[in-house]
Amino acid sequence: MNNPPLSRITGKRRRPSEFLLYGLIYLLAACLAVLVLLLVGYILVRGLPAITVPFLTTAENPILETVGIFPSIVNTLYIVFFALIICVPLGVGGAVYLSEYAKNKKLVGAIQFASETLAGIPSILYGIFGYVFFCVLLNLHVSLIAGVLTLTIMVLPIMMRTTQEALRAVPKAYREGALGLGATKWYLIRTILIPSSLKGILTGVILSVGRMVSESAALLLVAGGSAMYMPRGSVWEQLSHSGSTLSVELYRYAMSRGDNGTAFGIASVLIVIVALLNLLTRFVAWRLNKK
Amino acid sequence: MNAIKLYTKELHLHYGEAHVLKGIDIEVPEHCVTALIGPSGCGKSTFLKTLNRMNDAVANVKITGEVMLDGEDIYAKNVDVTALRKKVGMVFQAPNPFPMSIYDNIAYGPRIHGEKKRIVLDEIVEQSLRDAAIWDEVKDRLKKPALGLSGGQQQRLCIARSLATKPELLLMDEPTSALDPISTSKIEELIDELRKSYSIVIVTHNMQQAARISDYTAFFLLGDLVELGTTGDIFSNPKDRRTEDYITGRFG
Ligand SMILES: Nc1ncnc2c1ncn2[C@@H]1O[C@H](COP(=O)(O)OP(=O)(O)OP(=O)(O)O)[C@@H](O)[C@H]1O
Ligand SMILES: [Mg+2]
Repeated sequence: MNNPPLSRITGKRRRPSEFLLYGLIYLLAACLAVLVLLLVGYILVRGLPAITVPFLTTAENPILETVGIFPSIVNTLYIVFFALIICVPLGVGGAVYLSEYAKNKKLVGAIQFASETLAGIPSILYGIFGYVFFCVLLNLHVSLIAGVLTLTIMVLPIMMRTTQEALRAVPKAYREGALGLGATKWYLIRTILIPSSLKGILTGVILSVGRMVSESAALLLVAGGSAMYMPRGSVWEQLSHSGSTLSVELYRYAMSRGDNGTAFGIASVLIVIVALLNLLTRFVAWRLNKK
Repeated sequence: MNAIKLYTKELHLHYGEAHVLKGIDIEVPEHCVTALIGPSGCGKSTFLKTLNRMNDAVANVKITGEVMLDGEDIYAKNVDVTALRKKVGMVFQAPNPFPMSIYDNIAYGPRIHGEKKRIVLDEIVEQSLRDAAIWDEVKDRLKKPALGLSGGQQQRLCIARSLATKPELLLMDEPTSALDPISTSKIEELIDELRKSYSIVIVTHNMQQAARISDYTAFFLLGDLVELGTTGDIFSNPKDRRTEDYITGRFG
């Protein structure tokens, strides 16, 4: 018998094109990592000297000429917290409605299109709209609550989008299984669809927080550009006052005063806050998942 | 002959333009296993799904005719679909445990139907797992994720999950097609056991399986019910030429 030679599966050299591709991918990943480290490192190095206890715990005092960002930290947390409280249920609810209940395909398409468009428009347009609609028309004045509402409509499309993607990724077999046991649509949503989509919803929350914390232009218009007073009064009172968030303060110090040291200090605080908020979100999701 | 659990009359189903079920008249006797056989695409799964209204959610579906379960028309206006699906359980072709613990999988159905008491649920979970012949394999890991089980275990878990709502009629769509011979024979033994308390309709592509486990066999072809008879008759003495051709493997 004249058998053909056995083909070998070892000792083969990788194809050069594949080699190149891998190299390129690693290179890009390394660049990205270095870039992030440099950026964060630079900000922290320049910012940390500005961070002192009074800086973090007092308000700015123009007479004594001391700098303090405590009110802005509180304003930032308030705005993020209340905007999330409104936009997470609304965004998740909207996404559930669109992907599970809405029968009219055209309407769904139209809403989808609208929300994609909204996600793409510059934030200053939200600012102008928010000013005219919330501050003037609804008579909320320039206030944190106007800021909350403006940011809510700004990040709503993000929440809806990510939730919808997550819902779409839930295997059809889960739906069939649950419906086959007699589950109503709402029961299915509550016990299977939402829990399985938690990761996606979480991504939406993190993206939304990022967008809200970094917003300055729109908030300058609707929520105000200074934070001179320490927070006082009830939550509602504070929400109805004007006040700047950290990003707005950052802009103010860097642009109109040229005080870069303080600006970097604020930037460092912002980075820490975003990191903490992300951790918190993850922790919440982890807890929910365990239940 | 046993009492009739379910029958259909002139059951037609259209998916948009496609006429998938063309006037099915079938009788499903109580406490028996009725096997549905026929070539791929002839409408077996579709037919099975009309029996617990799983087709309702499909866009563009049109269903006419009667499906009578214990003398009630399941497509009547005032039917409570949840109650219907409690009474008519379903096991799917591919095992589909939910992404939760084994215990919660089994308790899922009873909880839908309002059972909250822990002791009752514990009891149902154990009994269902025993009935599905998987209790010994999972009793020490009830709190572990069901997705960690093997394919054959998952399918028996899914059967247990259907049993937990105490159905009267059990619909099984090729429940063993994804399983190895050992798991398959376990499930076949299980079906044999279940027939005492349930009525079962099972779709299968495996002729030997149909012959082994069923009392009645229905042969479907292109949306028609060609022949329905006792499994003995269908396999040894079919009336229709097409049934004989199919069973002897001359087509399909
Ligand atoms: N949701 C649907 N929309 C449109 N057509 C469908 C749908 N589901 C099934 N069909 C069509 O209906 C016909 C019957 O499908 P069905 O799944 O009932 O076949 P089957 O007998 O179960 O086949 P198999 O043995 O391969 O599982 C097929 O032609 C299929 O393409
Ligand atoms: Mg099928």
